[in-house]
Amino acid sequence: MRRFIYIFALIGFISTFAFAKEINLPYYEWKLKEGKGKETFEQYCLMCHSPGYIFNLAKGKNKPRNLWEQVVHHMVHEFKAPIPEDAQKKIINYLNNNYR
Amino acid sequence: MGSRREFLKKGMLLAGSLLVADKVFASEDKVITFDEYPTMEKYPGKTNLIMYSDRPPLLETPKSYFTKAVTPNDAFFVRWHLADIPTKVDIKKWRLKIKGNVEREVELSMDDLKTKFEPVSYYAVCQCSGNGRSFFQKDQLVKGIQWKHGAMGNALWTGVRLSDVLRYAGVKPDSIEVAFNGLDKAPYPKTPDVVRSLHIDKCLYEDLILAYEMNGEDIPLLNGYPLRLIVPGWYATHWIKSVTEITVLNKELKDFWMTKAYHIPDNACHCEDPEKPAKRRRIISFMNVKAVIGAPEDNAVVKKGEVVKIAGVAFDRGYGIRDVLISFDNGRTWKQTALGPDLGRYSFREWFYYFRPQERGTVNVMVRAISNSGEMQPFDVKWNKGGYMWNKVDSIKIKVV
Repeated sequence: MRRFIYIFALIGFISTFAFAKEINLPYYEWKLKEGKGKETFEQYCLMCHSPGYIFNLAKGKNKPRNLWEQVVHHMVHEFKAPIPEDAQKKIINYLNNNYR
Repeated sequence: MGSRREFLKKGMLLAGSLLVADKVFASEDKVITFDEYPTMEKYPGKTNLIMYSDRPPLLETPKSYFTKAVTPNDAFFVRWHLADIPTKVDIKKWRLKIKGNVEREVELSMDDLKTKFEPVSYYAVCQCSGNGRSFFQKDQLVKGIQWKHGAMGNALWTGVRLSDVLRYAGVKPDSIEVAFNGLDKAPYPKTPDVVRSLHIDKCLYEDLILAYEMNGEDIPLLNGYPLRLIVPGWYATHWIKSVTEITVLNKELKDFWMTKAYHIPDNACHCEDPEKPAKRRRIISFMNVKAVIGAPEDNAVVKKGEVVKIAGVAFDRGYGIRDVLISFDNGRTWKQTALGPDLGRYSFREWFYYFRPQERGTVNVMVRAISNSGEMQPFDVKWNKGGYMWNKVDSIKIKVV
């Protein structure tokens, strides 16, 4: 009898795993350039996405002068990023100074 | 007895430390510098893919996979807009809701989908609208993920007809659109959630399916488990992943994703001047015709007189591929390649050509697909702001020594 209980318990144990699918996403540390405004950038931009999402936008291309201004404004107006205006300026400066 | 307890204690400590050590090892953070970016990374359930972003994951299939008509699940590209993606789904609790302008609101379990409706399967290419974006002219920047060729894949999708599910709920006669929402969310609640709609006629009278299988297996979580909307012939932006809510509408959906995102110039070339963006724009829909070279890789070295197999895949919006032509003289003359089996009009079609170079030097190999509707892959692709629909004639260099 006890053996059956064990078997049922085992089936129950296995089935809870069989019905829930789960993955753990890997974590990466992106090495960002040091500079004025880096913390502001990290605080506001990396809340929703990784640096890869940002820097891949224009890799290897001639970047227009106002690229980062365009991107930050796009994030604020279309994606409703809650970035106050002074922080927007700091972020744009950080990106212009380090990722042109 | 004391010594035994001591032993057990030590053993537990040891086991504990091993467990901790294992955990640390398993989640060891990888440092990414921009010199080595984008990198090749291996995600759960995936093989090594080109990674552009980890949050949300953006993973591209290497070009060498495009010699085979079917893209394996573990090599299939991954693209999410919002970073809060479903990483755990309990299928016993998961439900598909059909609501809105219907006779009765319905909640279906996965068992319901698999038992109440007739299963159907077909091969279809899933391609990101921005696939190939990085190839647009260097001086005309296109913002967006700088994909190369591999934001696409072809799979056998199995599921139920969208029209069967809609009719099960009963679509009211004044309905004009159907909106789809998946399990993904934005980390910040005010960011517009990805909800997209399609015209009611497309949903009721065309061959869209809600797929629960991809190449005979559950769809990987990273590709939209447990249910993905398949819109064959159309770009992947319409293929909502992890669909959980279908809303029938009697008015147009006017969210960010329908009014602004993924819009192309509303003209024949879908192109515009960078200085003068087109005023009339419309949402992207049909894919254009394209062939890519999967092998050999660019700048491959072969010996004079040696046979090299040049192979790739071709596809279009659903007319099917009539021909894939190949040129070794910069497009002056063209030869037919051999086509692989026809797996259906929405599928990749394999093509191949055995080439035996007779002279030393560099050969420019160009490949051009023609669909059954007569659409030809162009020599030049004109610019558009979103960097969408890249389908220029593909080419590689072969060095003959």
